[in-house]
Amino acid sequence: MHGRLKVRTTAEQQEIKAKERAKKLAVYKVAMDRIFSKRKSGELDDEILKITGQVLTENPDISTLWNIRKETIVKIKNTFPDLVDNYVSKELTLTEQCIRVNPKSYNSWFHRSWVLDKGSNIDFQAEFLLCDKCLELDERNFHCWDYRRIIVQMSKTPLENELQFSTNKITKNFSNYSSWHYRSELLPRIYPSSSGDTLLDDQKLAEECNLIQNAIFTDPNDQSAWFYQRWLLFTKKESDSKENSKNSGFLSVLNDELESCQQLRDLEPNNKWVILQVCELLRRIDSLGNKKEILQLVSQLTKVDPLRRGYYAYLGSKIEEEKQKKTIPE
Amino acid sequence: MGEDIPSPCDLIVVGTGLVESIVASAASRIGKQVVHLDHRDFYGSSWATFSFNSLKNTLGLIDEFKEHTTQSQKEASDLNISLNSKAVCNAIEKWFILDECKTENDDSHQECEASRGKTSRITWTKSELLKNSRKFNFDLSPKLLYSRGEMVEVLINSGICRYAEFKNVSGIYTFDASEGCLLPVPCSRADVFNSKDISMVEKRLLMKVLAMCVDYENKPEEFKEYESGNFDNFLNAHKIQGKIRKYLVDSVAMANDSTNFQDAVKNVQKICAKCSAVFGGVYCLKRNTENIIIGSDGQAIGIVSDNQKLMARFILIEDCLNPLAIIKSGISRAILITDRSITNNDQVAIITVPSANGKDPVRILELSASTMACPPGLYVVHLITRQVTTAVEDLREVIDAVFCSGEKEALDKPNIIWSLHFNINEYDSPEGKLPSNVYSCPGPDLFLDFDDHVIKARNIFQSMYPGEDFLPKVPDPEDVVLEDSSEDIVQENP
Repeated sequence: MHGRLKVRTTAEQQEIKAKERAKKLAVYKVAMDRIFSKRKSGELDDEILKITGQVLTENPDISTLWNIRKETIVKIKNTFPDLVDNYVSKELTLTEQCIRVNPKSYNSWFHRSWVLDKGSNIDFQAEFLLCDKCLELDERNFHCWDYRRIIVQMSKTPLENELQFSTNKITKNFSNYSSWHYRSELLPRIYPSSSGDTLLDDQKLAEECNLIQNAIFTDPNDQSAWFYQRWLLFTKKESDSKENSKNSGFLSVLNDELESCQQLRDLEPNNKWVILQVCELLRRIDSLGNKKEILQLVSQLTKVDPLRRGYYAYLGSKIEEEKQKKTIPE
Repeated sequence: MGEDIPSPCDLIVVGTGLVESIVASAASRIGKQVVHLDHRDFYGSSWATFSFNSLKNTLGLIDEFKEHTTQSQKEASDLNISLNSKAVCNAIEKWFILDECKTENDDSHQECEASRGKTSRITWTKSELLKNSRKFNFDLSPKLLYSRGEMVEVLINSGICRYAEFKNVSGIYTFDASEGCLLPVPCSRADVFNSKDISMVEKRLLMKVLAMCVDYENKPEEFKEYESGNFDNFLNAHKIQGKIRKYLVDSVAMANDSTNFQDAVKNVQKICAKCSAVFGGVYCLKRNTENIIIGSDGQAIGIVSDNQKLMARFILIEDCLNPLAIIKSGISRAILITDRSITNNDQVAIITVPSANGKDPVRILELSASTMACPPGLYVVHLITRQVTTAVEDLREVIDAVFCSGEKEALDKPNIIWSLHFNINEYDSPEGKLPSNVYSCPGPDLFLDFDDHVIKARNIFQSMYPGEDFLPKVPDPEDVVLEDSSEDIVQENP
């Protein structure tokens, strides 16, 4: 029977791949030679942009080529300032292509933010769309988060919009350091506290505490939730006051949190995060008075989480030292 | 096409339902010569998907199917195949809208529209709907593809998933009859986190049980003491009460992660058939099968089809065609076209309506236009429950509770534009009565997933061909070389 199917063997597949690689290498060498010779003779022009573009599309991580492009753009800006916008949009297209190929390429993202600075009429809407898309594909891509911070600043976008964005991300998946971290940067700027003790305004603090409790109860093994709670409750504002004003309002917040942590502890007695948080809360409420209980918890921690016994030993020794001091060093 | 059917062949398959189609693919895949026949003029049998018009035609056909009266070459020992079996029956259709459009100078109608605040609503008429017949895809047996289910393996290995598009179930709900409203069932982490319905402690308890169940295979020792008991004991031991218990028992005891396969559900049998054809199966529609020929040793040796004798080593038949099968139970079904979503969720929703008096729950599957089930602006709703009397009776209560059918339009309930009720019979094939080389393949069941059917197909395959691979992974097309069209020829001709 003719037209039978035959499947290629691994050896054949490898041979084909080797041939393709050799071809690519030859092309690459020719291109690089041309680029460097042009640069040497000062020909920072369209052709050099074309060739560097071709190489970078295949491999976006060649910093030298990006820098050559930067040199070229600067030259254009100095000699033909009216044409710059045209070139800026080409750079944006190229970086976008490269980001598709490798969304974690330092060079592509950096070049993009560098280029934004050079143009005069940037479509920030499109930039946000790009960010949204990248974050949808990978919500922990820190390059993209950083880039987002840059465009927020450049476009003077109201921070409330970004807070909503962070809320949306968390609603979809609360297990994400980056979203919580973003939130922690935005909140103190939008809802600053009036008192000297906390970072956030009281009502907002209460809302966030409630939100994070949902995360903690839903999954007490999720680190990002615990770290956010620590930030909420334990971060002190910079203050020169020698007296630590133990704001009674804040103290009641801490006590409430302690209560729900204990509730969680009843359900999850061997979860190290819960135990650790109870510890930290007790410290801040009354380090001296609760010392005995805290040290008991620390020893429990060492049993439950032996990998980190060094840390717990350190914690234990710090607590032993704490005397009548009212400020808790962090 | 009749003259081209090879005889003898390795396997004759009568009927193009899911189980027999999977086995046909698997057999083709390992190089067996397969002949796949169906007396109908469409693939899929009780699993098929239809456009508006073809659904009506098909159900009409089934009701009027005439018994084959021509003289067939029948020996006394042969098994007569009951061709007038109606697996899908009791079809009743009802329209809820007028034939013609209301005229424009009907002021009361316009006021009504304005007061509802939906000024841009299309008023559908019968003729409009029928004109859009092709934009409807009605499944006789809609199913869900669970991402950890058996079917996923089959789809991946056979390469069928390359031709299919998938849509996620966007929401799972339970219907609270006392409140007359839908309650979203939290069953993913995100759902539980976002739910405003349950307390913190309840969230933890629910997540704990869900996580345990998901991890069941890896930690069997945690379930040892509950395994012999019932689910209730297990729930009690884990302090699951009240609302979360309702959720778990009514709606989640199915699965946590559901992938809905609506875009391609119409193509599953067709695509299975396609896969078989690529590897060498022969396909014939509109081909009747009259008898199974039994040899002197009690084994089947072939069939008589359209008066032609076709010989084969093995024979598969759909259970509704199995002459020895008896009807054991049935499924009551309804398909509705509505004008609005029950949820505010524009995708695919599963709603469970638990029954108060120990009857089976009713499952509702609502599909929006984004699943290609209907034109935009409309919704297709499937209802499924166990048959007690007829589909109309069995589903009346639920339909009345959730939808508005009739002249007075309710503000909050979706209106039914068209409905179709029908039943699907479920058959029992008595063990040991058929010859051992004849296999009866079950049709669709009450459950929303494919798992049991895939397992049954695999078992049949392994019984016929012990030791052979069941649907091994199809090679990457790029690695496939046709021996004839060699690369040398290409090089020689510049």
